[in-house]
Amino acid sequence: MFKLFRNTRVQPPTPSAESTRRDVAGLVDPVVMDQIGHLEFLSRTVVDGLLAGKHRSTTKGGCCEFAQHRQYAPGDEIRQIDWQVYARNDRYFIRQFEEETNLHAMLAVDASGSMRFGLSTISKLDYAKRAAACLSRLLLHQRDAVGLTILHESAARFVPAKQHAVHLRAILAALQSAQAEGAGELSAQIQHCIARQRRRGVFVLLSDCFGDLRELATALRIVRARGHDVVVMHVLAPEELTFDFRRWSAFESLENSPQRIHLDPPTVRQQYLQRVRAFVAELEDLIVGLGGDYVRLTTATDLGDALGWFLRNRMARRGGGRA
Amino acid sequence: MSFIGTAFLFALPLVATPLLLHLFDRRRNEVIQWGAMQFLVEASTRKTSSRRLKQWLLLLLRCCAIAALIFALARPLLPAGSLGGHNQGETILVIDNSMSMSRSTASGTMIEAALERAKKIIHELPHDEDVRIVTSAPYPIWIDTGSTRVDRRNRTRVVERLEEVEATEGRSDLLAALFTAAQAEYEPMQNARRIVLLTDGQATDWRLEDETGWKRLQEVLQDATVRTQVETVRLDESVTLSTVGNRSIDRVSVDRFVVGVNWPVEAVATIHNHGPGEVTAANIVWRVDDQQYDRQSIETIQGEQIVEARWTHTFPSTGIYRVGCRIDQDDDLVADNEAAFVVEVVDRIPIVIVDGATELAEMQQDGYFVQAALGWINGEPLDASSIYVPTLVSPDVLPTIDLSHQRVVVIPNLTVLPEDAVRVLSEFVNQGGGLWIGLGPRTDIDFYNHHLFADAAGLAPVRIDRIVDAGLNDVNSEIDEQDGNPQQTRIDPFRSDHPATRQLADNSQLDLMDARIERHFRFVGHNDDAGLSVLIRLNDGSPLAVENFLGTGRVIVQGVPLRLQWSDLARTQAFVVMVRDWIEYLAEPRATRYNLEPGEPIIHRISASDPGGDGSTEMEAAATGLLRTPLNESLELTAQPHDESIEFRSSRTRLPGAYQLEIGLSDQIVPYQVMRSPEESNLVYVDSEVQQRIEGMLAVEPSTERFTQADSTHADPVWPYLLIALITLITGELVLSGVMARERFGTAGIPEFSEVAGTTSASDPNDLKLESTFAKSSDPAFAASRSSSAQSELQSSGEVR
Repeated sequence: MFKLFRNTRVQPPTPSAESTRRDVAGLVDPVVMDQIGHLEFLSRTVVDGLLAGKHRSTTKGGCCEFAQHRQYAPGDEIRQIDWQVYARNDRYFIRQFEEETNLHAMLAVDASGSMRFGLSTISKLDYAKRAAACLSRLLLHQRDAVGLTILHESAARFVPAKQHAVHLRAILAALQSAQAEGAGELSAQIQHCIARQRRRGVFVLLSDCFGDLRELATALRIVRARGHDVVVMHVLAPEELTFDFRRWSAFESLENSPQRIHLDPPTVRQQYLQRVRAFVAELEDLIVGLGGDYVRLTTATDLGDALGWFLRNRMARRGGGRA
Repeated sequence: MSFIGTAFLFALPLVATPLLLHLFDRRRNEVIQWGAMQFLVEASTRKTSSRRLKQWLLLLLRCCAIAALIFALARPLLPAGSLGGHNQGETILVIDNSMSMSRSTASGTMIEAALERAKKIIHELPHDEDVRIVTSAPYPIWIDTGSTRVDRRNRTRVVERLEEVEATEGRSDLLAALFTAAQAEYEPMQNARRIVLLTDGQATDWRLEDETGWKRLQEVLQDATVRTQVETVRLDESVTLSTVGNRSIDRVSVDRFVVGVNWPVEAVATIHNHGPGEVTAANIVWRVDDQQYDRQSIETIQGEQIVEARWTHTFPSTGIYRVGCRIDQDDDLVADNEAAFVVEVVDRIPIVIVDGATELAEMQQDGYFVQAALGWINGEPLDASSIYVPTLVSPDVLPTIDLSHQRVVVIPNLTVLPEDAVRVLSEFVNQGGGLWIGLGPRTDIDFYNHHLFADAAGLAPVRIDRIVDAGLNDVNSEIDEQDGNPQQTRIDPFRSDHPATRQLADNSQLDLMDARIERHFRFVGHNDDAGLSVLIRLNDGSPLAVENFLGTGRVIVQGVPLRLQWSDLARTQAFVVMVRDWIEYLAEPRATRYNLEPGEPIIHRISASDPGGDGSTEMEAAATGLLRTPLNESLELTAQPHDESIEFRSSRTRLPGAYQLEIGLSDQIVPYQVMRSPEESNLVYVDSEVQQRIEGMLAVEPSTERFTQADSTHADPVWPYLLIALITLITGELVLSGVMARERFGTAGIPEFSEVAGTTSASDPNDLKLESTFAKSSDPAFAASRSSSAQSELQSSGEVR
């Protein structure tokens, strides 16, 4: 009987130094990858008019878009010298080609304080990290360029989108270093990071989106206006959706540390759920209204299932759209 | 308030348990690091006063439920009546229905006025008041068992019952009625009692001479456990009464209950003028069984005087007759102008005379003088009209003869009796027979003391000491009969007021004084005879004849034999009277009593072999009887078997007056008369001084400590109500907590997944691969939704547009 009174809260896993390496590998869950490995992440909009050749270029690996000439410098590869220019000018020039991708994906992981939440499951940030890692691997695997932004008010990180397979390591390291804290001005962070993304592509936001929805809407509109395809993966903890607390509790804000509310959860449950429901609905409407994809994920669901479902769904619609 | 299980009250602090649990729960204060603070802040700022009210109410219900349980276990008692709310009381109406209440007034009779007043009182009573009615004559009788609440429905019933009350011929005992009313059981709810006495104020009804009785009534009123208030309503003050004066026939008496056929019987009517003034002459009418026989005129009677009217009548045949006498003139109280007496006329009284010396000459026989006194010589009656039928037996055959039809056994000269005979005689006396023992020269003192006295358990009342000679206390000395010795022992009839010696004491006619006793048996402790019933004594004060009561019968033991031996008693004229009187006296218990006091039972026995009728048919015919009372009610009586005979028995003789027992189909009517009290005819009303005294005695204020004492003794259990409250509280708690749980957790959570636009629920059973893929999911609903959407997408992608 005394078990009833015992604290049943599950402590969120705390990352330790020795487990870092394992965690880096752990972010890319092989099981998840097994489930989603045969799927493709497609942009719903045409990316720089190159999408039509996507499959071809990925399979052939060729990149023949000429960018500029530059003077030869010692150490350059001999085979890159443009012999025709040399014949005309008697100077060595190197032909430079534009790096070519099918898709520039920017994964933005929200690392605000609220993302640290996780009671019965792993924290939302961890979940978002895993999702981001899996998506990165998938995208890199299909030869798309993947960048990563950690949206954090003080320790924001930006990993530019690249296409190399080894780029995954950089992404995973950046993910690994992310710690959820602070208020995290989500819209400002998004606007800041999207300014650095020159090429159009897919903007994937992994966040709980808590905060002012109007500001978020503004930011996402800007993203959209820059021609990016918007995907919002709304990561929520199951407790936030059910609010199934029974005991008197003190709720301490993860973002503003002094904020603390002492209350009997069941008494506010109805009101809370009403507000969350409204918020979620509003967010979905907003994103769908922008023409983006809205995916609600809870940390309790299997990541593989969730991603697989999303990708399949997207692929199907994409295919339907193309047909 | 008191508690039976006080120990449970120590558990009272447990009442705080729900509160403590609630506070403890609040204090646990689990800290949850919460992300979605913005919604929580918004939600918690909403006013939750109604919710909070419900929460406190729930808490209160739980506390109350525990408190109710603890109190119910402690079993509290509340003082009586405190649960009934307001003052609930009872009104007891004491209605004087004595004969004087039949006195006529200007508008009817006193009893009608009393009933009118009683109805008025009942109508004025509040609806939740209880009412009981008791009538007071001749002793207190409740009209209804238990008390009746005078609500609308019962009120008419009570009034109907009240209408049936009539004035009786009885005398009220208001003291006893008040006693009865004051001591009546009361309902636990009652806490006040009002006794209303409706009386005409006749002085004799109050029994003021009974000082101790009134003291005890005061004590009863003082000790009353409810507030008791006595009101007296004097009806004579509100009505006008005629004052002609009252003259009554107090009683009619006949000197013997049992008379012979064709014997002249003298009836005496005692006429009493109760008023202070003289009343004029009037006629009285004598009647036997409603048939008028004679008219006499009586002269003017002075105030407060008594005259006697005598009338001699001879009954021609056997039977039971009611001899009545009535004054043929109206006065203030008509009901007492008539009186009656029931006489049984018989043709024989069977007697057994035990003779131990039948072989001797006539005069030497023991029973000769007794027989002679009864009018029998040589076994033949001298007179054809003699009703005494003596049977002469010897002591040896005494055990063998059937004594059941005999009235009296006379042993004129006691000898040694066989043991069986003593047993038979004891049985006979026990069943109402009479036994007359004369002690004589052949009496064995040891036999008498051992078998007849038998340590006060036998037939004789007292042990005999020895034979003493008159004058000299020497057994052997002879006394000269002619010697006019002043020390001669004689009988002193004036020392006794025994009913059997009333006529013997009439010295002007009888010569009992002249009888000389030469020798007699002396009883042990003859000078200290307290409690001993003595019929006659000698002139030295020692008893000569003593009486014993055994069962219903009587035994007379006499110190001299009933013959001309030791004394010349048998030679005197008084001897005949004495024998006849005493035999009648001894025979009385066996005779049916026709003249009764109020309340004495009517017992009518019919013997199986009753002479004068065919026994068996009469037995069968007489299985039921009908008793008519003076108020013309008919009571059905059923015969009960009783020792080879059957008997009718009824104790409903509370009312004075004429009763009639009609037996079976045979038109045999047996009259009974219940005597009324002559004092009731005295219409003197209590004066104001006495009235004040009575009211003073009735206005007794009970001590307050009695009430508090009563509070603890008469208490209502509260725990049933507490248990009901407990059930209600628990039910309320369940309902309220259910409502609250619904409010708290009734709303479903938000679905964990966003819905995908354009998904349909159509499913394709052929797509097993995908099914199996998503079957891995831990959430079946999730898997189902995924599979359905995936299928629809695949289907749509397969379509060719």
